[in-house]
Amino acid sequence: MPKLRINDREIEVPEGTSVLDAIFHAGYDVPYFCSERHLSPIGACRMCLVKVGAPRKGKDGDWIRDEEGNPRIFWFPKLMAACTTRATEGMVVDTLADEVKKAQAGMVEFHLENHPLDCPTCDKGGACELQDRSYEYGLFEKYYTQTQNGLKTVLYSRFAFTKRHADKHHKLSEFVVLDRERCIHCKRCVRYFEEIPGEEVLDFIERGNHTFIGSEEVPLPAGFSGNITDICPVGALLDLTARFRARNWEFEKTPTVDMNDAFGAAIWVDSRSGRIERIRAREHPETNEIWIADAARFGHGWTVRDRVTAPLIRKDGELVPASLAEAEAYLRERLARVRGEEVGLLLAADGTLEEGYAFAEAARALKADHFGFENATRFPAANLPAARFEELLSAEFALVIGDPAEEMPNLYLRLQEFLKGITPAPRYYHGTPIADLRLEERMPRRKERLAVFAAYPTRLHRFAGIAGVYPPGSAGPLVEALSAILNGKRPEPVPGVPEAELRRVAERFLAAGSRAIVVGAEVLEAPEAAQAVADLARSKGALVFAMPPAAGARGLEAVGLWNPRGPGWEEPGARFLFAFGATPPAEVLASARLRVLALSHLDPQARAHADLVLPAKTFYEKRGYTVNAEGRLLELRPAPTAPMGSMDGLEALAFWLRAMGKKPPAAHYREARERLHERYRLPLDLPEEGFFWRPKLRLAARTGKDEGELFLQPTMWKERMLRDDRVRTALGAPRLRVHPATAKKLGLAQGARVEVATRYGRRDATVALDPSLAEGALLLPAYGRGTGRRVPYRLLVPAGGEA
Amino acid sequence: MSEGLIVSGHDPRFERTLYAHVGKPGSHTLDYYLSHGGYEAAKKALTGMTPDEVIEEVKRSGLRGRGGAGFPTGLKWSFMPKDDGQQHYIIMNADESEPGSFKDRYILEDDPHQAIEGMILAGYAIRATKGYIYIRGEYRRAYDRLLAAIEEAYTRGYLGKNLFGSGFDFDLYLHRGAGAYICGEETALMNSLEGLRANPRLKPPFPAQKGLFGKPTTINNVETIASVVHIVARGADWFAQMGYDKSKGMKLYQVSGPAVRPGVYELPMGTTFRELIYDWAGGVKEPIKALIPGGSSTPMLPFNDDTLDTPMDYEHLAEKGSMLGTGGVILIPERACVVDVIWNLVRFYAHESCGKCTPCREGVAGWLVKLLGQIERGKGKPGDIELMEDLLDNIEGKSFCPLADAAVWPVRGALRHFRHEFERHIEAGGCPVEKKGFWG
Amino acid sequence: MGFFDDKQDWLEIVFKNYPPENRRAAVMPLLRKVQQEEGHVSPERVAEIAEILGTTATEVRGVMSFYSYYQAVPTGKYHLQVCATLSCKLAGAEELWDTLRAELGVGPGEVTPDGLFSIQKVECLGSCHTAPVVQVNDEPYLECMNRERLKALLEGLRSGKRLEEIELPGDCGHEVRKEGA
Ligand SMILES: Cc1cc2nc3c(=O)[nH]c(=O)nc-3n(C[C@H](O)[C@H](O)[C@H](O)COP(=O)(O)O)c2cc1C
Ligand code: SF4
Ligand code: FES
Repeated sequence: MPKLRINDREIEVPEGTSVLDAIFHAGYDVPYFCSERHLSPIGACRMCLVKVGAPRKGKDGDWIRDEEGNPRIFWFPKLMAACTTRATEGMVVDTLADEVKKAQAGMVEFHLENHPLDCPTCDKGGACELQDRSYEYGLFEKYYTQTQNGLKTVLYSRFAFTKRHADKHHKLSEFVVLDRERCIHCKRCVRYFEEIPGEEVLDFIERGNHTFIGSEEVPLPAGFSGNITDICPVGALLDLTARFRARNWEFEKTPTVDMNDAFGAAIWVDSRSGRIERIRAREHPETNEIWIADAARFGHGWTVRDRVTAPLIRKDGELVPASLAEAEAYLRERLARVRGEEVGLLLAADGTLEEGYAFAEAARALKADHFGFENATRFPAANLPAARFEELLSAEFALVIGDPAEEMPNLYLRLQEFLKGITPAPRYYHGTPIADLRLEERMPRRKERLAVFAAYPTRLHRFAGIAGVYPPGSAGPLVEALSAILNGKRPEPVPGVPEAELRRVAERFLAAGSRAIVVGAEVLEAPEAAQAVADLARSKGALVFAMPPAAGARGLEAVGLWNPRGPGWEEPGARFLFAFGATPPAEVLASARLRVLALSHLDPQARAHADLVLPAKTFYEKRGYTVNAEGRLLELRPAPTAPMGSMDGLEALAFWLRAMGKKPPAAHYREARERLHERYRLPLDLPEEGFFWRPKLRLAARTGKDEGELFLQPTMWKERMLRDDRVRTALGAPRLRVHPATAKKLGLAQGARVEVATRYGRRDATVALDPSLAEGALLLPAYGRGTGRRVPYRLLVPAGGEA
Repeated sequence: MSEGLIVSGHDPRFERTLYAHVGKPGSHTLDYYLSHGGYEAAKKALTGMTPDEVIEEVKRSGLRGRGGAGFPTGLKWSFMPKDDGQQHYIIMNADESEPGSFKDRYILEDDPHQAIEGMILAGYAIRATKGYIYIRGEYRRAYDRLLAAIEEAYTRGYLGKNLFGSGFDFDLYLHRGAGAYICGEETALMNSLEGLRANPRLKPPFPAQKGLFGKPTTINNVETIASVVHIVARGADWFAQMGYDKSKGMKLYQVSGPAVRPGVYELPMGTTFRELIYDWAGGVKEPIKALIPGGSSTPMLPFNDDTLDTPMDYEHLAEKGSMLGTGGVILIPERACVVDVIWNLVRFYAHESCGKCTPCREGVAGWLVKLLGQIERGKGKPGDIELMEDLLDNIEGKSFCPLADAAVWPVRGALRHFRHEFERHIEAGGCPVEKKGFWG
Repeated sequence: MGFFDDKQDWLEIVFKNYPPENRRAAVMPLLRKVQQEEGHVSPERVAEIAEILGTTATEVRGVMSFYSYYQAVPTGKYHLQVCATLSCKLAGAEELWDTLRAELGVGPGEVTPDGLFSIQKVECLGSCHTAPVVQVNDEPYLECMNRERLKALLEGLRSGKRLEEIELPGDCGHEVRKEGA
């Protein structure tokens, strides 16, 4: 742990710390543009130049000393870029010298030379690193003062030539726009793509003063592209969903958690005038670091369109607006003599822990046997042990069955770190290192550490030493065969995956000192396989990362919204149905006598079947806990965007129960939280250092098997996001992917337009023959409903038909 | 060893080695090379010396890198790890792109086996079994001849497995550049060779720890590596008897501009400009006002007796506020305008800036070149020279690699000795020099 | 058809120059091959090279645009590159350039209507002692260019002679490569 001096402060920092981080750690500031957390330091912007000196050792191995016996400081002949200089024992850093100030002011002047001053129309204005740093470091009085007419004037730049002109509105995708004039060549975006998601889709083109950012992969692949809009220090890369929506200081910024998947990524919800305008990644070092997926970022447009703003009651076949009092009367009348068992209580996949608790308690009190949550898998994720995402980085080998990039995108980014052998960075007073010298450009990926299998080639396949594609439905058999091999038994054959391949996996699995198993929805839908994973984890010692398709699965299961015997979200049964936050499949609705849905938006099924619709809050607008895939307790905080009168799950359930003449288990999140505290010792307020809740559960798995041929492929995009034109345009028509041989059998032609009907509704799709699939494969994006299952389907050729 | 150091090309003890065969018919063939003592040095080292002995010999010779920076070659080689079990690489930097330099080209064209033999020696010393020659893309004839020479060497066993029965294997590959001066910078060169954009890399890690393809690598200039052949053949003492102090051995000096016989001259280190220009290059064809001593990045000196009597080596030129660089002397005639000359050079560096770091991209390639152009066109304003000097301060020593400095130094040199020409431009509102009629 | 489809043997040889795990190191020779044979590197070729090397077109374009040799727009059968750096400039490179422009009636990025010529200013070619220097395609340099030599060059090329068949009148007036001693 080297000790060094920054100006007047002595500090001690971990080995390998950059001078830049040492400066911040000491409480001083230094300007920087090219450095960014989690990216390799490159020393390109030259903003962080400081004066550095260090003692030297003589031939005798001792420090060379001055007359007083102190180690003599040898100043480096030039100013050093703090970001790429390693802090060493005895070093002395001066960030306040005139020489340093002049260099920094000069560098700001260079940066501004070609940067347009269109801050009034720039979305980054007010949150722009260049603005801030220019204001602070660009004016060095000795340097900029000019005397005119006897008066001293201060200039921001002496550059008296025309600025460089370049493409100002260069769309990189439906979501990201590039302004080439504003780019200051920090290379953050270029490094981001190569280093974080591992996609080389952005680069500098040309050289020297003509250098600009460009891509031949336009539109940029939707997945992880949005993070560049966060890290671009200027307004060169902007989020098109939020273009011209507000000045940065006008946004109401709500720190909350993304509930589109079970990762629990921290986000900022930026709203204005009651509308969600922008989502940004919020730093949470232990989970998402500073990254989020595109779906989490750009998929918010649906929230502002066609909201349900008042109760809707079906009259003469039509849903018509009504007052809350009318709704209450309507419900009282219909629920008057209903017995508890006849009731079904269903909660959306993104329900909070408090909501889950209330739904579970209510179901218990009513003795209802129809309850559950959306996208519950047959095997409860909560039965599997959980590990912290950071623990993955200490593993030596990982086996993935599923598609992390779509099922839990942030886990995919963690896997990229794992492939590069990056371990969690030290924490400084200022937090995450800004210039982590352990990171380098183009770090090799250690492919031998990874084996991946899925029903189609995933983004991860390219990075895996062993990679396979099996026909949908074989995830279970694959896991079981592997488990057999690991337990020294003879495996059953797995379609599409040779036994030798599995033996290689087993070999590496056993040879590794520490291992991780990542399983997706497909495995969780195969109870025997999922149980085998749990057993393997125990017997062989492996970290398990389960990716349940419901964001809150672990917590909802743990608080008792788990009903292995009775019907859940998917199965018909209840006569009096109450669902919050999403619409159950049509057959479930159709079998009920009364269907009350609390929704933020109507969808075709709700329109067709609901008797009463209550206005509901989206997860962005709720307060409550959730438990992520790690078993980590996280807190949702409400953005001020819910229409008046819209309810969260607790309020809506209370509304229903009161109509039945029952007392709700908790009418308010605080009350629910007190119950959770009493029962499970969960904290009343989330402690700073975080909280894990991983009760040891052995919940019975649900029974049943997939019976269908259409595999619903995981996607980070959700059905509701498709309401937004921008998202629909970006994703294009859903592709019905099919193996060519299978297509032949089914009579499907490449490019044919079809309509696919499943229990989740109808969807237009384009047939895409895909030889990279296993024979028999027929895949359609799930958009969050029925992810990882094989379901029965019907194909219809829509009007306008075949391509 | 005889009395006194050899510091003049007139010294009868001095004999030509690097360029001994340049220009001779058939000198690029293996047969010619063998009949003139070719591959003897390699044989001697591989069969009779340990790698460390070779390094020691080079250290003792006092050889310093001829690529411009003058880093002691033996010391550089000793940075390479030993017995680390990794692939090592030796790279010959044949990117020769500094204006005023053209010395390496004729070694490659007319004596390619000398380069190959040098590579074998260097590879042996640093335990590299693979070598690359990174040759600038425009050197077509040199490329063709090198390619043929390598093939010939492979066929006759001078490259490949078990050279001279020593058990040492050596493979040599050629890689062509495509027109980018920055590729001469050693880390940019490695990026270029790896198929990446040729931006310089961060140091540390230094190439000797993590270089080409992530493996320990040494990069040397063509002349440096060729010199090793003769150091090994004739001994370190022979080399060290030439030159002054810390500038030893022979050097390839180049003369361009209005000399009677511009060209490349192999002379002992420390030969004076006067000797080079008048005795070897035949004198000047017209009045000269300044000379650039060692390639375009070195600050110019006024053409006067003091300059002419300066020995061309690292120390003496540093004393004069300039540098030896690559030893490429450019004569600037009286009829030329210094502002125009400097603008041309800065324009060169601006064109060749890789764009990675701010002071070079925005300073050199943006502002400085525009400001100089403005002054040259007579559009300069009072205060522009002071502004320019301030810009130079903001660029110099602040860039990621020395390219920006290389653009700053010539301007500084010109301002030191010819400031009046800049002032005249601004005052007179134009360039006083007629630019036509240079061409025959 | 892809440009490299019938050049598999050639590709083999090129790839041998680099470690097998560093295929993309071959990007420069591949770009050069296309440039030599097609006079420029089109976006289709960029994509094809990316495919062969297992990288993205963005990366290939990033590399390609870095160097002055590779051209994104078509060039003439004879691409004349005029060195414009100091020594050549002092020997009249600007007049040479102006003459060439006037003679051929094209500017940078353009091709003469007969498809024969295009011109480009380049930086120091490393032949300062034989200034001014012109390079045609990637053939050996044409040195000590004066009006007569330029005229002979253009006439020769127009008349369909190959470069090496063209006799340029006169010489540099000094021994160009060897020491003058
Ligand atoms: C911008 C720049 C351009 C350079 N160009 C060349 C070059 O063309 N040839 C060369 O040998 N060295 C060149 N160098 C020096 C090399 O980086 C390196 O120091 C040299 O090849 C080392 O060889 P040496 O020790 O034998 O001199 C250049 C350096 C810089 C910063
Ligand atoms: S676009 Fe933004 S992030 Fe990318 S290099 Fe330019 S300034 Fe940096
Ligand atoms: S050089 Fe950009 S942060 Fe240090």
